[in-house]
Amino acid sequence: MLVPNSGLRIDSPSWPLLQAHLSYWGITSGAGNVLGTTIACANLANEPNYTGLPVKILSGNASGQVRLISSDIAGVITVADPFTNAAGAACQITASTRFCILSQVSGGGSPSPPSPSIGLWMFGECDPGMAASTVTLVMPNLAGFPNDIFNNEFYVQVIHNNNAPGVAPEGEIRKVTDYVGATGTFTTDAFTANVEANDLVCVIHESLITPGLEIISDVVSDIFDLVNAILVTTETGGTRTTTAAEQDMYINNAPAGVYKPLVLKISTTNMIAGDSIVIRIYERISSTGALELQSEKQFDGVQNEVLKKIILYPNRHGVETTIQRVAGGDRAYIWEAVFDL
Amino acid sequence: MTIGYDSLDVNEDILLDLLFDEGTGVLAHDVAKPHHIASLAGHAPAWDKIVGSGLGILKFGSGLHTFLEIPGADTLDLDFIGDFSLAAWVNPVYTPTIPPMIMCRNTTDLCGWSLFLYDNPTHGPILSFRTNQAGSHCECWAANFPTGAMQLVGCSYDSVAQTVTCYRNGLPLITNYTPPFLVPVACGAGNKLLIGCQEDELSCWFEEEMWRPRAWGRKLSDNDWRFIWDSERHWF
Repeated sequence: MLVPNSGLRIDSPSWPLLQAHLSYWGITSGAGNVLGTTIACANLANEPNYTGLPVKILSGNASGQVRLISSDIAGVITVADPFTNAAGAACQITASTRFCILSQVSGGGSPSPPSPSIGLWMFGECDPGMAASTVTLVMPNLAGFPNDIFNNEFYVQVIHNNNAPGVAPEGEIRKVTDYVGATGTFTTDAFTANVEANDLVCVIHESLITPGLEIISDVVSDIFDLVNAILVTTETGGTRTTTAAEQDMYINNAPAGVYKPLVLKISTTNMIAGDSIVIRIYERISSTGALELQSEKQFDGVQNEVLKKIILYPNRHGVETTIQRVAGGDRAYIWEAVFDL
Repeated sequence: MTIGYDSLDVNEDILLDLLFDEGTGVLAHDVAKPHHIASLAGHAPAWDKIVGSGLGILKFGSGLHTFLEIPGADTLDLDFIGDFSLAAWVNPVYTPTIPPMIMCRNTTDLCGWSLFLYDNPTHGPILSFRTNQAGSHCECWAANFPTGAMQLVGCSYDSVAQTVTCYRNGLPLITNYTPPFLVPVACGAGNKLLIGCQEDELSCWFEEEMWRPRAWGRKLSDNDWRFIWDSERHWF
């Protein structure tokens, strides 16, 4: 406790009253943050922790304002709500500002704001002056903790979109990737929409996250990838009119991963006597290799079984099917390819 | 385990779905049932892929004036006069005063519809959707379609309520327009489906990357959009 007795007689009744009502009386040793949420007083490092008590500014542009202390660490007091000036703007508490810490705890009336000591679940309020962003959240009530303490272990969920309730990013959860204690700035994986001033969030330790929540964590993203990799049977097709040159029908020249073409079907209905065509299948079996001939089949004249089916095989680096007229006239050939995607 | 393409709810009434997995040549084949074939011949974007995932895409490129076309006679099923939806993954690059066209079937006050982007001097990069009537048109826009990232963009049109909603990355956006948003007049076989430029094939060039332009003959729900986003975002 540090309470002034300057100008008081030793038996003055004011002295015990001051001691009863004040926990600390001091002058800032340096400037607080520009958000108006911290008070720097080096001597506080020699005092017990005053978290939870009200602090009152006695000089400067915020003179007379009282705020609750949300943290008291190493000579820096952090308050839940910023001090403000006559214009209502955030007021930085500059060096040599007089202040006192009052010996009062809340009782009756509305409950005090949640204390932001580090917990597995913490409440955060985005600063009124915060720029809208999908990745940067400034929450002065969560300032004052050591830098990076939340990185990669905590998640932020937007629990209330202040200007558009129910609209994204409300409900979304993203991992914290960086934390700056001086300003209470959290950097997260990107939300799908901007987090904005006065939005309410909770900061959650990963140990509390359950599968029922919408979590875009690495683990869940991996699961998404696996689920999305479940093959879907798809087909495409077209009509190819032959020429003397070899022409593509179905081709997948550069698959994104292993995939499974199933069958190529070609209708030879239009073939007449004297026509000959060659169907070829090529595959590439290395990333730098060429499409190499895997099989070819020639069909001559009128076909009894007009629908030809050619089995295709799973591959990683590409498949190509072609058609070429080698005798007779050029005809239109309808083809269809079925594949798992 | 396999799931049939047509049995996926999101693929109900799908009429165009260009996967761009050919990776070479001048044709892009539709995996939706109508089997449209888009031609790149003479104005081909470059076949490319997403570096991280290897997904095949088309890269239109700055100043290259490339596009895809499907003949008008082959796209009568895309001559929408009822509910419909349009979507594509795009990474746009904006040039001042040029609205990059994603896809269209005519862009004049005559018939058809168009979906395009524009870096609006007032609102920033926007997505616009337009339906054309004889001598007039209806147009809407939604904001925040930045350059530099692949994003799922599109719109759902309700022909009964005559309303439209634009979407980005699976979420509905505030869509600005003057109601009612009228149904387009059918163009018939006279207008191609164009991807990457407007109907004169001389302007409104789309630049940079595109994957999987799609069209449905129904209004996609919010859940449909979210499903597409959740199913495909891992590629980018």
